[in-house]
Amino acid sequence: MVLENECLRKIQETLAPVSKSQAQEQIQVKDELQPQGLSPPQSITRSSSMATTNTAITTNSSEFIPHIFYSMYQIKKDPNNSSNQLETSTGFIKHRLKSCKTLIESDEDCRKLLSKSTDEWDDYIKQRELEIEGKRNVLKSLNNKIGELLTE
Amino acid sequence: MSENIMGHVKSISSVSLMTDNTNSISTNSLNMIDYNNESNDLSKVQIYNDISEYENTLFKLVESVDKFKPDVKLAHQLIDVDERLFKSLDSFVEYDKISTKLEECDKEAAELDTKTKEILGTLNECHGLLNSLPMLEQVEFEKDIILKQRSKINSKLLLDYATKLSKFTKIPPTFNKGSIGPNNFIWPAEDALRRGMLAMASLHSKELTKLPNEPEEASEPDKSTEPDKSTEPIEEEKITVDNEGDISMGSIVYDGSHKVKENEKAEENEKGSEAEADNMDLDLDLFNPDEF
Repeated sequence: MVLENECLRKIQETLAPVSKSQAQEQIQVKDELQPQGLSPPQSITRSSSMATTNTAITTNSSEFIPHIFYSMYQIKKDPNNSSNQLETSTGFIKHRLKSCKTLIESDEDCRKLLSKSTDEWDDYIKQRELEIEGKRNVLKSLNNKIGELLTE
Repeated sequence: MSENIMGHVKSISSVSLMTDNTNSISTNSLNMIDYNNESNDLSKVQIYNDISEYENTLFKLVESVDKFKPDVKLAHQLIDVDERLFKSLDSFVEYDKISTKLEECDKEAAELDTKTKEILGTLNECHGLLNSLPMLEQVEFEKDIILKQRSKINSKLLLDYATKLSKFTKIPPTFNKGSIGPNNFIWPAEDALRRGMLAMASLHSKELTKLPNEPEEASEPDKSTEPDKSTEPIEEEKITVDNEGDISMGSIVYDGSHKVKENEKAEENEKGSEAEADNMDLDLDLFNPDEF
């Protein structure tokens, strides 16, 4: 599933890059549906949900640990080879982790978003919706009052 | 004067320095607060903490492996941290939904705020317009006054009509003559009528005040007739009274009787000249009737 929040999408792509073909397919479906103002059909929704579950599975089994163990296996296999060093082989992992940290540090909105738990955000959104509903009710009552005055 | 001004300048400059200092202190403190807030925000971000822990654990593991002393505990720890990191990464879908909802909420709130501002502006304008209008009570009061004025007939019109009618009418029989009315009645007022009666009576005062047995000649002197010999003494009396300076009878009209008086005086003078022979004429008689 392609995330709409840019910062979150970048972090996800950095830590667990989705295969290019899958991502392109999802973007293409989205681009085709958006101009027509249509909601995606159930089959596509199902496939996208399947894709989401697939990405969830892939993210759960990240590529970092297998890569580290493979590097360690290489070192064990040929310890005298100077190119087989865990420091150099884990460099891309460190780089990705650092770039993710930089993204979080630089984006204030993202930082704010991730600083609260999902439950806290749910409560906040409920409260916010109540406030908006209250404002709407005020405007509605005002509208009714004006209507009554006009009929009088 | 100049010392005072310098003193003021110094005091102002010191105040400005104080304010600058306080501003710099406040900005520094704000920066510190921002930094603290940022660090607090980052410490609250679960995935950031997981990444940091991942980095530390990986660094320790790499170090241990490169020293040929691999630590299995660190490897297990790294697996746990990795699991946590990607678990929190899975929650990004929920965070993305939350972000979308928040954006929608912000959009709705902004729309409602702009709408509310517009409504408040319109209501404010209406309030101003209503305040500029006169009050309902005042309008009703003025309306009542206008209606009352319309129901009344204009007094000038009424008087004009009455003056036309007055030529052919008399005092109404129901009018109470005892009461003294205002002067602008179409008929003369009671006091005016009385005054007129008195004036008429004063003209015929002797007729009205004469005694029943009194002769008519004495009571009523006839002024229109020519002066007779019988009336001469009376007129002489009047003239003498006039010569004495008594001006109580203002209504008496001079009818040229001074010529008679001149004749009499001439006769008397002749008599006096005969009596007082050769007396010098001193011209002491200052009375000249022609001057009247």
